[in-house]
Amino acid sequence: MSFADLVSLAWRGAIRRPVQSGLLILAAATAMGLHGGVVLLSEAGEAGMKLGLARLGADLLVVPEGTQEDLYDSLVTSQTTDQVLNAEQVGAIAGSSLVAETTAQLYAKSLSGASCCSVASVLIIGFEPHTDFVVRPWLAGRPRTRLSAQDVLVGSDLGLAEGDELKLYGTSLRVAGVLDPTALSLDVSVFVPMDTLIRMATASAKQAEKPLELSAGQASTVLVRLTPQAARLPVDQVATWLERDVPGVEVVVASELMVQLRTRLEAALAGLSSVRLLVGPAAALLGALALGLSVHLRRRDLGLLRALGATARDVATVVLLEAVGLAVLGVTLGLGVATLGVFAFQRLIADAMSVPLSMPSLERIAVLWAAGGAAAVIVALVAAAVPAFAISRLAPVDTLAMRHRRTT
Amino acid sequence: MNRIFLMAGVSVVLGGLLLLIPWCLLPVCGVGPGLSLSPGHHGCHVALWGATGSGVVLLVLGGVAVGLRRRGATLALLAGATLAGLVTLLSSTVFPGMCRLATMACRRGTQPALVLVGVALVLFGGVGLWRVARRP
Repeated sequence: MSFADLVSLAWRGAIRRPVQSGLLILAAATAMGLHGGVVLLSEAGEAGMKLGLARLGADLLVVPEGTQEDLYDSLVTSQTTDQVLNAEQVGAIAGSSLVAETTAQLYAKSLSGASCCSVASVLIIGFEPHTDFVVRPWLAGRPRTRLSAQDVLVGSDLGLAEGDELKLYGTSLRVAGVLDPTALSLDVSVFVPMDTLIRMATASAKQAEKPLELSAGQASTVLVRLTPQAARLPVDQVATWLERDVPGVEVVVASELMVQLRTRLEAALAGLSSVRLLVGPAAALLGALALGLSVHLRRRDLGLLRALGATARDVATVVLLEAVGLAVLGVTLGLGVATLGVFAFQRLIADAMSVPLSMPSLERIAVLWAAGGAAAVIVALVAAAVPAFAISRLAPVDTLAMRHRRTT
Repeated sequence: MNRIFLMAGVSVVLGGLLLLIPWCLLPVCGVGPGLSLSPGHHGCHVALWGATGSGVVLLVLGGVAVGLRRRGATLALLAGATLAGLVTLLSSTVFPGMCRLATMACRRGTQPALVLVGVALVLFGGVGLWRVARRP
């Protein structure tokens, strides 16, 4: 029999028993969907953390004492805290002998419950254009864009374009540029020059439904670049010295952010990973049982095939082809749903897990699919080997007689 | 016979999802737990009514197909599913689409979910129509 004939027989066998075939496909789809989802989220989290950290561009971040966790929340989920550094603390940080450059940022949240398409519930980040070394480099190709009093920059994922107008706390503003993606909540933030932000705060008492309570000189975070001498020292030691020199502050080492975010990612994926570890072997067992049952129910057909001249090898090949085909269908379904789900709902998932997500490249996704497909084919071949070998060893007359005895 | 039940079942599930997604599962902006629309106009509310209408049509067509069990009813069900998918896709993406900002609830959850269901409906209706129309 030609290979095409064997494939055709395997296909017909699969569609004639929709329940067994459906079980096999479902088992493979569930196992690979879970596995693919965990791997995709893990890779998206790693990629997001690396991208976010690379975009920060500072060695240290200085925040008010006790607000380190709030900083993570600000960077990932746009949450803000009322605590700020005062002008004296900001000045002391900038004046430290360990520090080469500093730039202050002040966080606020836009009003929620506004009417359609107003800029509601987004993070407003006040930055200092004359000292900034963080935000401007994200303006692809145009880092020297001049900002007028009404101009703001916006994150890549906010849905606004250059020239768009928006209103914050009653003040009309214009989008002067869209920043490169960072995978952090900064992608859905509005970056307002500090002078403009303070002017907005002053005017908000009359123009907005709720006043914005900020004053000049305050900062939510001071981003720090160390001097070459300090950069050669252990960074934890430098952080400790800075905390000692400036009372009431907490220093976050930028590279530690990665560790903290990775811990969050692992914690968020722990439950899903456990389920995956349980479901994988269970799906393989269920698949093997469904396949064994399918072969058992087809003994007469396969015996008839032998009686009509098919070799034992042909019969075994039909069983193996059916198993592999159904497994590949299941893998395609499972990985397809997982990929689509993660891609479509990545913003919701990132918020729920409190980690930045950046979808892996198409090449990585293709590798994941190929690896998943290969693993499923191997598992299907192993699971189908026993019934395929057993049925191919039986003489045609035996299989037909067994059926005859049972029916008479 | 089984085929009609299968098609009606798929339509009812997808139609149910069209009703549940924008109201309960991943609600559009301004839709609260009490299922009442908040005051003020949101761009996404056109998509909300588009999906709601499509969902109701699919539920009705599914019931009619099971009740009549005729080829014409099956064809109407499949054509309705294709149309409902197109209406859902268009109203949630371009005519008029969702709210402007990507941070809005409708853009984060409702839109991708409706797009996935819309694509599933177009595929289901299109392939089903092609297969049923081929038969004498």
